[in-house]
Amino acid sequence: MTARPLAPDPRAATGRGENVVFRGVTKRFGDEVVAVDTMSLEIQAGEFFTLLGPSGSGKSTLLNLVLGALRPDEGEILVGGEPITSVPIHKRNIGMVFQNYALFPHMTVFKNIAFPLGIRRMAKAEIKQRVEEVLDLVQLSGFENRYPSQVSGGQQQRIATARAIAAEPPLILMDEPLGALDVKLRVEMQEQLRLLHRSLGVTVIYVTHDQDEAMTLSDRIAVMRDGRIEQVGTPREVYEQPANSFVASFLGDANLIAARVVRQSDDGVELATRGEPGMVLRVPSDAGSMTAGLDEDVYCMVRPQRIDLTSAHPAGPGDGDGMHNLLPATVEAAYFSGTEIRYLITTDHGDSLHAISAIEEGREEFAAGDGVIARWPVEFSRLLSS
Amino acid sequence: MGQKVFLGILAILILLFIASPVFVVLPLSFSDARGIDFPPESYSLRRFRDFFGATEWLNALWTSAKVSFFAILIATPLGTGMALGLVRGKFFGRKLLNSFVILPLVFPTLIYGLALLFLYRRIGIYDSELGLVLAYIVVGLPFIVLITAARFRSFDESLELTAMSLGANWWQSFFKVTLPLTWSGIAAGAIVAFIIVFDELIIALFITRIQEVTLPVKMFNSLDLDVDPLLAVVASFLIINSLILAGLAALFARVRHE
Repeated sequence: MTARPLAPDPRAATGRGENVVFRGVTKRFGDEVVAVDTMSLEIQAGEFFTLLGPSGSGKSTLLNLVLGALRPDEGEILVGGEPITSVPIHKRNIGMVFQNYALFPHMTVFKNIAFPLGIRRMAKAEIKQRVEEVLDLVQLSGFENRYPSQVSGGQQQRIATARAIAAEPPLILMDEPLGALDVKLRVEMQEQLRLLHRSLGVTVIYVTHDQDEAMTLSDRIAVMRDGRIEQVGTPREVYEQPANSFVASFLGDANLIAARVVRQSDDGVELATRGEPGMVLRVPSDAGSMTAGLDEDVYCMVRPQRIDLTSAHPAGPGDGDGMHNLLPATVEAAYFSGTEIRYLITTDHGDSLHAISAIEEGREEFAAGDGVIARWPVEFSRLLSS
Repeated sequence: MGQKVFLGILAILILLFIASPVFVVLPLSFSDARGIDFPPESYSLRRFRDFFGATEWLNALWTSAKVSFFAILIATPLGTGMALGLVRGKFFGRKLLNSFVILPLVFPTLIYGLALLFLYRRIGIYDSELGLVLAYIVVGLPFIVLITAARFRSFDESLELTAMSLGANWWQSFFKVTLPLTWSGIAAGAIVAFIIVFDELIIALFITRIQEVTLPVKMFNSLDLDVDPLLAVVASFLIINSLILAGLAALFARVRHE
């Protein structure tokens, strides 16, 4: 598999995708389970949009509603402005890639990819040309006469993608398409998918439970839980400004420090940690979608990468410079992982935190039992509802 | 180790017990004697010559072959459709219907035959090929449904969904994807049903009299007067027929479509 830049598809002018709108979509299974709960959402034309969530969060159900394998109990889904819930699957013109690829085992690679074209009664010569084009696009030229069982997992994945885009649908759905591949291959395929999406300009709705994959691939991410959307935003937004503690911990490691609101002003919110006396933590005023009332119990969230450890000062941490939050703590464990050290620390008031520091010249390193001060810039503190 | 040997010997003994009639009937059919003699003193193909010269036996064989063939020809698409509905369908009462499928298997054939007798006399298809075919469609159906449904159940639904997402309507999806990947299961079901129907006796006794005599009925009737030595030939014929078909069914059941 030689990585070479993808030849842009001559006909794939950008903006070929269509937007997808969910209006109050609900899907129940039986009387008890609400898989998708009055969901409203708009996905832009040409966007790479990811539904991210743990299993059972309703992301696959949502995808199956768009595909047409399921019908919503309430609400409407519009693709390119047209309602589709009463349109049968085969008339929706949506490309689908399943996790198991669902390649037709009795057909060659050529016949698999030609399938949607044959159904559309395209001329033989045209079919041949188009199959060659998409095979070239996924860098599998020359595989025409193989059977799916004769190619590797990564190649099967690309064949399934080629088949899904062959008839040039404006919308492509992918349900954990890289889930069955090993890590190294997955990263490679992520890059390919991103480039493919860019060159085609179609709308992609992508389902995954892998937060790294979601952040690498997506224009925007919807984080789902229990059939509801917890937050929609760019990878940066959901990572750096999570709407709540669920989003914060689902997207990477998050330290959640229980605290109480003690003062509010224009330039920030002041919190006090539990315990007597509580340590003061500052959070910028725009850092959180919630407005916290005085005395309310909240979380102060900070990513482990933002926490810097320094030696404990005999005179105590002091008040700092107003630009940083400081918490005295003790190192419980230190894990070396090549490029960084991951510390598990316990603050003096009893919270367990993670801190990750890159291994650099001149940077202090600590061992279990060392007294330290955890220090991070106020601007990287987030206020989350508890 | 000792346990395994013991179990192996036990299995062989049980198989021998089940197959024992074969070891009696096969030699008998090659006997040279006029009456029944076991074990035969001398062997010949005389009885086979007699069988293929006896018009009434050949007629019975022909009738059985015909009605079984047409019954299964009709029952197979019917049963396949039913199996698809039971496995893929989304309708109220599907689970209940699933358990109804085996009902014809446990329903007493005597009663079914008697009911058919009354019905057929009334509508005028008593002692007719049509009557036999209709009855045998019902007899063969559950076997076809059970076997093909098992095949459909193990069939990956995402293949059908993919075909449809690529623009194939239900029929195209079925004939281009589902059927090419499941035909062996359907064939196995059809063959098993054919074997069952081909040597069905009780219902045929009820709904036929003179016109349409199937091979099993002819065999049964020939026991009436005296034991016709030709019976051994017919029995051998049926055994070999079943063995070949069962072998085919087993072969189809193993077909993997990759």
